[in-house]
Amino acid sequence: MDGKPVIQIQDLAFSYGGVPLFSGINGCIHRGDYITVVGPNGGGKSTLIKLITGLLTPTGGSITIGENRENRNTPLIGYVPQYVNFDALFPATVEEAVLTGTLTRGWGFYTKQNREAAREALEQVGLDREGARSFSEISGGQRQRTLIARALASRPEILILDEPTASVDTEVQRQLRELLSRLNKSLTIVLVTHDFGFVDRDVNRVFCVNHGLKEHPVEKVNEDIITASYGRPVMAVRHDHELAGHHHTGEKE
Amino acid sequence: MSDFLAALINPAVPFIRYALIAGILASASFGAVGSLVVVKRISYIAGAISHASLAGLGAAVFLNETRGWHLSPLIGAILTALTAAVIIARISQGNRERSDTVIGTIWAVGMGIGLLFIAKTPGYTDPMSYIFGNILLLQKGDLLLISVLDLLVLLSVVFFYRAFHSIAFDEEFARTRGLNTGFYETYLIILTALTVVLMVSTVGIVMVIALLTIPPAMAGIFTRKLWQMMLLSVLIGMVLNSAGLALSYVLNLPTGSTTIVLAGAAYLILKGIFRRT
Repeated sequence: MDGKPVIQIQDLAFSYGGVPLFSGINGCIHRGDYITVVGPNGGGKSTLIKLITGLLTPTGGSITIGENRENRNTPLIGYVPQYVNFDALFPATVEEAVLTGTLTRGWGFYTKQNREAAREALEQVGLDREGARSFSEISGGQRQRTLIARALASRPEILILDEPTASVDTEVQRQLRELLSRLNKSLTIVLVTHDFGFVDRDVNRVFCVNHGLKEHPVEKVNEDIITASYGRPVMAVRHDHELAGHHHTGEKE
Repeated sequence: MSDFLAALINPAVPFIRYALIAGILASASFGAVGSLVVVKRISYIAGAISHASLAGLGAAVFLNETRGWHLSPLIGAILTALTAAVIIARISQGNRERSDTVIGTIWAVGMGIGLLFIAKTPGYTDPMSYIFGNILLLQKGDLLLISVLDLLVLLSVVFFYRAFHSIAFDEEFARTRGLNTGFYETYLIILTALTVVLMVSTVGIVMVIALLTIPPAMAGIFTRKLWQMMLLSVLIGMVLNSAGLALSYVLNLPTGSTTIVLAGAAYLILKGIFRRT
């Protein structure tokens, strides 16, 4: 990938009900990046993601997506929320959930191309045999992968994930890490997480967000930087254990 | 039961026939829109709209008596239900007010206005008929209106099914896909208003919500897709409405109450047998 800027944040400002959360923050995400966004609760991680995806409108500055598009509902972005926020009783199959990712307008019916895109997306996340199952009856990890497939079904260039490892066990976290590393070969990935286990290997930069934004190359992220970005000491819990032949290392806030 | 079948073809009691036709027709919209109301968890909005529709019902009765108008109470109900729907949609999409407080206010104030109109109508008008339903209120002309509204609601649900399914599943994601979710949410609330008034004459403004939510809740036990839930809800609604009417006729009971109690009992029995949901 060519490393051109795909998301440019310039002098971004945002206030909630007159209370400023961000004021004049800057950052740049390049094609092919794998970025993790970390920071304390209430520091603005989710707000930054909502601003990038167009769910919120900045009160100042700008976010440019792609060449020169503003951040309004761009098809370049595939958004993946947390699966735990979904109604466990909602009547939808896995395929139907993924098909909603192909929507570009609300009327009419899904086309053959939509179904083909959904099938390919399910293949990419390894759920191609689960399409007919109910979204409510599959496991948490499978639901999270379904939501990744839904984002992929729109054939985005940038995948933005909000805490995908929350509420899944360590084995599923490992599978998700492998999936995202694989997807990063063709996609730019921005991942919000509390799990410092994600700040490793394939991640190339870390955005520390706490009422501001500081970029760090992943190799320079150390305890001091994390403590500074959280504004208080962070307890690190390291756990190395064997999981089906893989070593897992994690740190938690 | 043979008494009921005989009544259906007896020209002296056409209202039984009208009630059966209205129930079967309305079941289609109730199944389709009711499923959306249930999965989107907005039955309290439907409740507010149905109660507020009493304002229009009462106003129509009042104007007919005092001004010599010939306005079907159903038209009055439709107008106020639509007004309430638009206000509720705007309030629930903005964050300026506590939306549940405003919805509760519309619920109660609409009902209060309706009762005031009925109280000031010359002669005696029993408000119970409008609150708890009375099949005698159903006029032949209402069947045409119900048919037209039914068709409008069903075509809308089919045509915008993808959007409704998508915003009910994940409104935020639908917005990131560029869908005008505000428009579709407003439209869904308007369809809910149109659906609710289809049955206010028969079951009344209080119990109509049960007809909107119980068939989809029953259908949800057996289905895993929204459109399947809608289709099964339609069938369940048709059976419940027809059985409720027949039972009420045979046992000489109020139709609305009989239908709702029957529906509630059927739901509880099903829930007891299939403990999935």
